[in-house]
Amino acid sequence: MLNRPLSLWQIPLLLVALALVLFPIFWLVMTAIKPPIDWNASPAIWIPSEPTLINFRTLFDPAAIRAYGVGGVSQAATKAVVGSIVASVSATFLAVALGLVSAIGLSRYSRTNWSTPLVILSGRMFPPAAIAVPFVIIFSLTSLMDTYPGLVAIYTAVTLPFSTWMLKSFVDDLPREMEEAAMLDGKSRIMAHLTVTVPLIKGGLFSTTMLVFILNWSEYMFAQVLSNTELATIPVQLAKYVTATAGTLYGVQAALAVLAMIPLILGGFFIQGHLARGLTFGAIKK
Amino acid sequence: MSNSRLNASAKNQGRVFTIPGQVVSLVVLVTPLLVALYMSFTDWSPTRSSLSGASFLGLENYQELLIYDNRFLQAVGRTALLAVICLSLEFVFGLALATLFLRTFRGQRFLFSAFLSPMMVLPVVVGYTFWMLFQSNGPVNQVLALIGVTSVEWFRDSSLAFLAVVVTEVWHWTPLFFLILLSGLNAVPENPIRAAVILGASPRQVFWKVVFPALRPVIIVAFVIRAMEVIKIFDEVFLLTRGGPGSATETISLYIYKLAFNDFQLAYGAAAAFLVLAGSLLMVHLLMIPVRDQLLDNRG
Amino acid sequence: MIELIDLTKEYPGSSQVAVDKLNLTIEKGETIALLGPSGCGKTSTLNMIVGLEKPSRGDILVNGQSIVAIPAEKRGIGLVFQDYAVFTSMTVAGNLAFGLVIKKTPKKEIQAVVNETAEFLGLTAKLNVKARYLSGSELQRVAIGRTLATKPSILLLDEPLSNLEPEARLAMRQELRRLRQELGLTIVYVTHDQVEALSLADRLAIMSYGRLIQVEKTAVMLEKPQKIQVAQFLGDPPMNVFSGFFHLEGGPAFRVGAVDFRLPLASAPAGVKVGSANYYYLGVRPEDLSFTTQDKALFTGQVTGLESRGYDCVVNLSQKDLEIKALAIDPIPDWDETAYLSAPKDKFFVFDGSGELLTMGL
Repeated sequence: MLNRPLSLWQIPLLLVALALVLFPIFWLVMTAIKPPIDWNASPAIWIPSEPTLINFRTLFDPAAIRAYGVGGVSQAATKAVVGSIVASVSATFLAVALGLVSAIGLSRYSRTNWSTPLVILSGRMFPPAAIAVPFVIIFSLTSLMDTYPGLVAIYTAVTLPFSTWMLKSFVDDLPREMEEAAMLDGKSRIMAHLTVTVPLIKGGLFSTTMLVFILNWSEYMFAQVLSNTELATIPVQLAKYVTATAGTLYGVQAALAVLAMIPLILGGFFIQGHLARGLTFGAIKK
Repeated sequence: MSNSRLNASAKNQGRVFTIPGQVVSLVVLVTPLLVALYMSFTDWSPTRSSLSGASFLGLENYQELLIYDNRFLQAVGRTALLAVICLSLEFVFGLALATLFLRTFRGQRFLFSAFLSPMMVLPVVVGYTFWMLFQSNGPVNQVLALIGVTSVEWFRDSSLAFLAVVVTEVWHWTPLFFLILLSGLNAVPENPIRAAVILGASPRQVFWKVVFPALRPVIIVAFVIRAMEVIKIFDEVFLLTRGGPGSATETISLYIYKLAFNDFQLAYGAAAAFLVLAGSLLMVHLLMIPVRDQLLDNRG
Repeated sequence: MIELIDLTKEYPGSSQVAVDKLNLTIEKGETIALLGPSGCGKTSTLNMIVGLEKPSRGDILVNGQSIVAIPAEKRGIGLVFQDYAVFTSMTVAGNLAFGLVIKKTPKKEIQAVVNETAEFLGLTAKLNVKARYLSGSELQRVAIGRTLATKPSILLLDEPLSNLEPEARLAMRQELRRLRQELGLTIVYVTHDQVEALSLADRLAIMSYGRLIQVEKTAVMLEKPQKIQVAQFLGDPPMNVFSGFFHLEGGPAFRVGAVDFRLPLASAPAGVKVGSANYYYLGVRPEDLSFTTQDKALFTGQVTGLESRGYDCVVNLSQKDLEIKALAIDPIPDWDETAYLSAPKDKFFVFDGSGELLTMGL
């Protein structure tokens, strides 16, 4: 819209906004590389005197964690990191695979009307604490509490409507003539979709996968409610450090937070082009 | 959506595609919700008997919540207040930032990514980071001290704690408004703007009379999506204030969480959740009515 | 009266000049069509006249006064965009009133102008309809009405008919003619469609690559193209134009590559130099060519293309590399048939090597 350069007064405005946006991330990263003596110094130290990676090492060393001897926290983060990866990756795979099949079905073979998005959105409006309640009941009857399959099932269920709707918006963009041509060539319906539809939406597929992964990777409450001794994810571990130590493990916690954040910032960067569509459930295309 | 070239049998064959998704949703989403719905009409609690043995109360839980449960009503009011304040601020900041990005300047692509980054941070991490920032010896207070405001105890004062939650939320989600409004602004056609200029409209008039109306559906989408998220807000507040001091920052989700998993009043918590769902659905529906034709048009 | 003096527009970062030293005088009450292929600088010219773009060099005078420094809204010039640019969120009445509301015109007066404009353009029944729900030709009329309501003395139209369906196009053409007659406006409009230009304009201004090629009364322009670009642009299909030289071996002929185009003359055409050192362009309109017998043929070729247009048929004849288009009504030759063409001698155009018309008729 009418390309003009920034006005002079707008430049400082932009810089102040940038500083405000980046400061919390800056603070977190700085805390992660502070030596223990700087963690909770008063007044707070902005840039560590001797930057160190010791916090990251401590994170994966049970003995080192125990050595801090605060609040009885003895767990290394190894299990939580592995747990987060296992749960997020498998749930993302399931939700995207099932979502892809449903999206093709919805886009190509059934009618959608105004209520469809509302039904799908309502899944995201329901407070997660309330979704967790029936899951806890059913899982305790089927001994799925405190297990990865249980967590993966919840994650798949809550992200499936999202992945379906998002992928449907990409399939909707494709002219169906291309698939029909493949079918006329003698390909079966499934092969036509597999060889024509899927390759054409691979950008959308990647973005959807990334967004579902972000949702799963960030999820806290379900994991918290289901977990006891066996199940662990990064957000649960992070909250546990905060609760148990009232935050006094500053540097170690920040190190874990930074590790958790890195894949999302990178992933988000790659899917920037589809971010608006993903976050508005396809209502905005670009 | 229908296509005459696909005959009915092809359509029926094709419908097979929707079955796996429907089965999964039915088993892992609809069933638990129906269980929860039934439960919300009973007095069931895990410390007592099985679900089938619980006595049926009808609408008693709902009645209790809506008429007598002040803590619930306060949580609802507080969440609504939080939503109104946060969304207004996020809209204003997001719009201001988006209009800056309509200009061209060096490093625009990099700054665009930078301004989106807060959205990518895990809510738990956001909660923890701002908890650090708002410590009494933290950097926020250090900056405040420069302008003569000293020893602010953010988490001991009700309004200050609420303010801390607002700041955290606004920081976390202004980028979403920024992103949505910027793509909306970029999609506003240029010629009506030119036409308005020729007819004598000032930049302000062009914005309010031409750009803003074209942007309206996008603005509503942004508000609806953010409102849905704010209603559910949990992680950030849980790590930042845990709902305290007292219940000064206790949102609906926090209250339901405490009911269900601290006090084990699962049935009552479920009833509260369904009330929230009904309220949100109604709100979203009302908000979307004026723009739904436009939205469906865009979808083609 | 509008005078464009050496009007030039260059865009930074583009090596090509969008509008190159345009000189054009448009009389009061005249309708003039800027005609040319897309990208020839027509729209840039309109934008400069209306004030959306600043000229890189040159001047624009309206009634003798330079308007280059005057902001768009004070020039009293209206522009109707190709995509109409109607304010879709407003009603038809809101659109028509827009310019007056901005100028803080009294409400009563606005009401009167809106009603009058709506009546003039047949929009009265649609006044309270949101513009979003209008058809293409209704949008077009709203766009015109929105401009007319501000009483401009000059109306600029950018491709006014190109987005309309055929029937709507016909109706809108009549509408525009009526507008010109009843309001006496000076109208400048841009088009790439010659039928549209021919049916509406008093004069045509043909542009190519940012330059003005020829400005002429519409009828004269068709009759007597001064430049080869004009000849190659006007007409449907446009004139056959060949580059080559005149020679006298075996009677006067025009040689194109290895092919001779026999001329219906006793000796070399007057005023041209004979021989391969002197290049000319020879032009003849498809409609002036007729099918004949071998002994009277000026050009012999094989039918390599037939395109029926209902009332007639465009025939492509080829001999070696040379291709020529002619029109056939009845009988229509067959594919690959050998056919013979001739034309009266006064239907030939000769352009010199730089593309200027030398003679019309040999």
